[in-house]
Amino acid sequence: MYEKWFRGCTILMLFLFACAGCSTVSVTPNLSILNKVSVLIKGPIQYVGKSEYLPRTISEGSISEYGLTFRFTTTEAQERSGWDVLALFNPLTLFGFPTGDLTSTVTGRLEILKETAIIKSYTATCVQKASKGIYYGENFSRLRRKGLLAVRDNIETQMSQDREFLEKAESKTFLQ
Amino acid sequence: MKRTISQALLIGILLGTATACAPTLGQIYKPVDVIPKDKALVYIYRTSGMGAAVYYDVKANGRVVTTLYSGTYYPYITDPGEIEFSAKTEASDSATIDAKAGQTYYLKGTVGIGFIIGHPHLTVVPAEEAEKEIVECKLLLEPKERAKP
Repeated sequence: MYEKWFRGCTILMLFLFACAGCSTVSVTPNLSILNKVSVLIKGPIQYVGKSEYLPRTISEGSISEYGLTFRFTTTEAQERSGWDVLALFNPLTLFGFPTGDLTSTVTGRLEILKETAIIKSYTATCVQKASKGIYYGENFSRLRRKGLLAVRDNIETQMSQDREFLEKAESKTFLQ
Repeated sequence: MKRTISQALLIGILLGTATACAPTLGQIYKPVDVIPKDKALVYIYRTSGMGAAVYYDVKANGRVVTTLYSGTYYPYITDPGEIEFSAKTEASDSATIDAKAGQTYYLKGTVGIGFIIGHPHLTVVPAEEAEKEIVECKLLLEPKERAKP
């Protein structure tokens, strides 16, 4: 009798931990990552930050006769929610029940400019949610890095799907 | 006699420890007038709340910047670039800021539940939220300023 009850409680607890302790990542637009990335277009790049977060489909080059330049910007928002007071009185906290959530939203935007006009822009957003307990947890530094890399990969895919347009953009007749 | 001496010693040690732990605080929040040229400003602050007795060092790229106590703030002027702020008690936490010259950022420290001691939490918060919270915080003086009579 007690054995059944104990087994039931254990399964329920494990289920609750599994649900509550999940971490989720969602990138929009929803696209698959490229296996191999190649440079699609070159020009001067306006970007302040680490080069590893820059889409690898663009490459720094001197301004061409067609006047293409690139502007890459990123933003990040962090949110922390906690139920510490509740967790303090929750005996399950000692068994690893989550005590709070971290949410990181990273957005990247790549603009292609012909002289001063934006001829194309690519935007990607990565939202990550991770739980934190007293024995485990993510931090915002790691979430930020993962988010920036996910955004970079997503923009690379968007650009590779736009290959035809990018080839045209480098031609003399474009926008004339 | 021996007992009295040992009791006095114990009280002395306890008082000494308490004094050593208590931070010397400056005035209530006052924004930094001018950010030096080619520098960024990061306000590291912690409002009063849960875990008030817990304090921790805040490091910037591994170097201690300040010790953060409940209800205090510290204006950290730095070179631009990616800065990883970290803090540790029985667990560690970190948050990264990509600081740009002439810009102001706000890093909020809190204390969350831990097994033996509260865990440090670091979060980069938007200016509009931070400016409301930081007004009640008192300035943490730099070590050399604390030593002044």
